[in-house]
Amino acid sequence: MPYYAQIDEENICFAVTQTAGEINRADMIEIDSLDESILLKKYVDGAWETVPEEPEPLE
Amino acid sequence: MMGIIEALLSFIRRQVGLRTDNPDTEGSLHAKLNYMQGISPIKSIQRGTLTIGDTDTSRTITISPVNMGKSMLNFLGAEARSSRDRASTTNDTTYALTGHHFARINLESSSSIKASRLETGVGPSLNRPITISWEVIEFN
Repeated sequence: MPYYAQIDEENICFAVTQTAGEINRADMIEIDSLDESILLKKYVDGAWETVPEEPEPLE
Repeated sequence: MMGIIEALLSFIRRQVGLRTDNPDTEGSLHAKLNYMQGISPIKSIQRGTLTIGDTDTSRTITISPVNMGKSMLNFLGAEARSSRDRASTTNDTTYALTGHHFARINLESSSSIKASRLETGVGPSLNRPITISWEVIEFN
């Protein structure tokens, strides 16, 4: 069964899924495993890049 | 003596059979196993993890199509970091506003799951994402 990462309009991964069959969609990127570490990372030229978090304001 | 051993090996071969044997309740061991595989009540299992972003209250994901009348969606748990309420720090205390922790999921269509929550957190820069694990079991 294949694995996919689903990305939003900014190429940020918001889901990793093991499906029952092949899915052909532009927002579904085939991956090797159910790798949760790529959640909230950005898909850039075939690689997953960490998106820096915005710092919390000082109190 | 050799004749007995050959007869015994031949008997064992017939009992075990080959992986290519057709499903048959009266056939070899492989034939029986192939038959049992064919009568599994489960047609497919899909699973995954999704994240609702820090400023979002819902997210819809895509799965392989299932028969909604023969499928169940299981919620396997969720996690989210705390969101401090800066407005309540007058007595130097902070606490976790938990509204953004509580999420639910539903099989929105035969090929999509929707996850949603009521709140995103306390406010700008203190909103938090939530991560949810799920599985869909489709029966024959």
